[in-house]
Amino acid sequence: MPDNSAPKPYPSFRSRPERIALVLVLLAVVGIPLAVLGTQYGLRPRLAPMRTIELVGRLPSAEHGGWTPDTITVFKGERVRLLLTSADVVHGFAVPKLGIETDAWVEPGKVLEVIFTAEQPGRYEFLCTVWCETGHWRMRGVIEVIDPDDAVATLRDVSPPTTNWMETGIDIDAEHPGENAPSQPPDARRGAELWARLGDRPFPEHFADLDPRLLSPSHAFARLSRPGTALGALTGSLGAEERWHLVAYLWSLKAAPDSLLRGEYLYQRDCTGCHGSLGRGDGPGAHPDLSLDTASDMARPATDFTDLRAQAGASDMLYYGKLVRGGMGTTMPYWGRLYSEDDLWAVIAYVRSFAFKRD
Amino acid sequence: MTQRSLLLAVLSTLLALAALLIPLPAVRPRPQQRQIHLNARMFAFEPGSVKVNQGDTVTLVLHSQDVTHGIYLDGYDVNIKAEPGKPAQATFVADRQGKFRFRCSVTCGAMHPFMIGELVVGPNLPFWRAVVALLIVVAGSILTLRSAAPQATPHVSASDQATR
Amino acid sequence: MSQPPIKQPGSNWRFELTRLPFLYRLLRWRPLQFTLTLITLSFFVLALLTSFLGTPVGNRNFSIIFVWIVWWALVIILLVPALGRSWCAICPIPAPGEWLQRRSFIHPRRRKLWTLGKRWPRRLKNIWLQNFSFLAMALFSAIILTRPVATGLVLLAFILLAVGLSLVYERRIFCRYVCPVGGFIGLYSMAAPIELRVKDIEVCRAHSTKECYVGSEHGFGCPWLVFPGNLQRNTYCGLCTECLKTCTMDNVAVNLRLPGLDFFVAKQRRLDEAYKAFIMLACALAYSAVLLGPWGVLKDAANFASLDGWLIYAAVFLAFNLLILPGLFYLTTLLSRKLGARGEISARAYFIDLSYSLIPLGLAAWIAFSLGFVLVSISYALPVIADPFGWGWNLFGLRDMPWTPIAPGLIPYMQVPVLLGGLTFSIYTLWRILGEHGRERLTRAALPPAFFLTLATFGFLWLYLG
Ligand code: SF4
Ligand SMILES: [Cu+2]
Ligand SMILES: [Cu+2]
Repeated sequence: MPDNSAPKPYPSFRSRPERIALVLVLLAVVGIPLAVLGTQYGLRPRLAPMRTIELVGRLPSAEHGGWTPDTITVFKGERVRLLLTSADVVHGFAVPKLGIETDAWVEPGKVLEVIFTAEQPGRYEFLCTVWCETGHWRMRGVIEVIDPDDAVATLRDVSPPTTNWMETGIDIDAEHPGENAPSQPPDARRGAELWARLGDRPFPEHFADLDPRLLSPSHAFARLSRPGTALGALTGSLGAEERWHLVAYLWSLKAAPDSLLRGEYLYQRDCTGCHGSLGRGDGPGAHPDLSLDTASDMARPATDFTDLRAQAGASDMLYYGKLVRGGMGTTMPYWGRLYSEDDLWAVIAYVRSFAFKRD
Repeated sequence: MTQRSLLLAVLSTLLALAALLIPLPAVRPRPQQRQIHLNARMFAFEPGSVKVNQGDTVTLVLHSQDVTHGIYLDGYDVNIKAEPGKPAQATFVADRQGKFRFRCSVTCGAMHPFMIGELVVGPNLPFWRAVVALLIVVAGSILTLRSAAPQATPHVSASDQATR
Repeated sequence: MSQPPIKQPGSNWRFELTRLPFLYRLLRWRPLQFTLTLITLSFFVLALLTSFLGTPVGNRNFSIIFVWIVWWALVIILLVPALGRSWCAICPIPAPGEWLQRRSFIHPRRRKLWTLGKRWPRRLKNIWLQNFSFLAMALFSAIILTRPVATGLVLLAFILLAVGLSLVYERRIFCRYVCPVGGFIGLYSMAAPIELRVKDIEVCRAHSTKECYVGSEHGFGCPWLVFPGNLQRNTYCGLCTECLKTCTMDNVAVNLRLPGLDFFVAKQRRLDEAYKAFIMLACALAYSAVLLGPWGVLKDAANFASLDGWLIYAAVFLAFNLLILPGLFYLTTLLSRKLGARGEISARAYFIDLSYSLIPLGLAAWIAFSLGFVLVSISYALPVIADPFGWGWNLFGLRDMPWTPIAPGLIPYMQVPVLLGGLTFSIYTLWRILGEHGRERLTRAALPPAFFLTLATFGFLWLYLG
């Protein structure tokens, strides 16, 4: 390209527009990052109305999976704000023993605010309440509430389960098919009607000699037909089906309606991932990891609560033990640190309703 | 442009519009009740494509297989969300024909915005209308161009090609 | 520089927009480009920050939503069809490099650019590099479109490359020969109803200083290595309007014109551009199936669910782009050449010529495809403005705006007219290109490629409506 023009004087670089432009560019390139970081790490913490802790949930199998951080330390009586978010999929959040059971999702990229004040020192376990993968149950963490004057209390679990199931010598890992089992789900209402007709005194009193928690439905059924006892005399003439109605009736008396509701709430929140919402053992986590050796316990499918023989053979204490300790070696987690004593029995009562109809 | 080609152009446009828009009496097979189970996983629905007939009462039951998913059905007021293990369902009357996409409505991972399935409410007249319009447009353009006068401007001669 | 007078083929109807005093003054106002670029640069900086520091959740991260939804919609649905390459005038990516070369932001300061001034290799003076850079991105699109960090890395790579190239080579080498986006913007800008041209080529010829190319105290020489006097197509003009400012003869204008005239500049047709047309059409089809279709297998493959799956996907994808679609079209051109008795033209040149008829349909297909997800996802923009990083900010109180697809039931009814319009435009283009070689047996020659175009349109209709 020919260029025969004489160079003309160009305006000076130090002209005003250039200087303004430079400032603007610096504002964009340096100012924006500084403003962002300053707001997030300088301004926001300072403006926070109370102590604020950010909690990020990730799939347990992911890098940094689970809750980050998974231990939170606060002071007794301190008002604390949790900002929860998820980095991948929908999770949930609950601290049952603090009464934090919002049922709100911790959604990816959104922030859920939870405010609490813990009055009692000790350890409160929290968990993810939306099933998110096979290892979902590992999404747990602890809130340590410190009482500077009571170091011992600080280290204790808050309201731990009180029943000493191990003392009973029950083997919760053994198979426990009932010797007797109904062929159809029995109906507690029919049992109540029957007893109203036949009964001499409140039904449970006939079992007063036994610890009801150790009694299995199969065992109770056997009692109904035992000759030579008062109970046997009253019920001996009944058919098997009717006797099972009576057994269902007996179990329905164990839990008050609101306890059953609580059990339903907890079961539907925490157990459906594997046991399914109808108790059939058909949740998405029911068949854990097919890549695992199928003989290993980890590959054991989730219990089907509509299996009448298994239900008939299981005492409430057996379920209690399983819940508190977990299914050792299987994917059944432990709930002893999360559920209160009442919660545990409530869940058990609800689980029974998959086999024994009640209203 | 000659008069003839102008006429052709206008005519084919009108015809194409007619093919797209003229109301037709609906041929409705007897409406049915349908229950459709959709399994959702990252990042697809199974089955991905569902066919029903216009007028059918459709119940979609969403089963999330891995993480929480949802269904937002284009053009129908359906938005359900299901956690794994807790199926959710919605019932609606498929009263309009065509293909309607349903999209996951719960952020479920990277490809979530592209987690899409489709509900085809048959007979899929909108599609066939578009195809007829397509044929009209093709035929119309070719006929129009055929009858247009030769370009008045000089075209670039073949010798130019050699310079490439 | 001797040249035959340039004949603008086709209708010569033009309206000189720069005759509007307001526009004329605006376009000659030196700070204009800087100001607009400063705005886009601010967004760019924020996008970079959010991509690396913000939530990994794509639809809650500013970078994903503003780059792949907002910016994309702006470019492909609005700017390119209406204003051609105008995006390139305000693009932040080449700006730092350009400012560095010029050692100034607004006013020309010295004649020489601050650069090593190396020559760009002759063999790369085409858009093959852009074709391949686009394909490379397209292969990873499922990753890039959904992962903020991937988007951030791409943006970072772009700007570093642009600055780096500006240090070594003169002017906007990155834009002209490397940028994957620039490649298709250039291709589709040919269809735009806007152009920058000289008013009278004779004036240019007589004007020996060629300020528009070398620069003057009023402005810089063309950053795009283009001599405006030779401009017959929009393809490589970045619409920065420097020449409008530098030209002391006031011989440069921005015109309104009939769309698509550039397709008929026979002399400048090239294989690399023809391939760009195929790649774009093929990608639009592939994306419509993979991203908007109901097939989980395709999504898994594109999303790297397994390496094997992705490798197969990549192979099929590349073959479709580079062999199958061009191959099929090549067959139709062979048939057309036979039927039309146009044996005097080489099969290759004939193929290249006719390929330009794919451009309007390709653009229409991209608009249709984009409508399919832009309207659905654009409502993410509000929460993302409120909380760009997913840190729980709530600017303007918009954070909790729910995701609400806009008129999703109507999308197919927008896609159909767009596609049919594009097809008509394509057939017209085909017809006129064929007409360049005489009008004998025109219809017969047109039928095979027209069939191809129809089939492609049918494919889109089937994917969107069928
Ligand atoms: S070519 Fe690419 S980098 Fe250059 S201005 Fe255009 S879009 Fe921006
Ligand atoms: Cu979880
Ligand atoms: Cu989903």
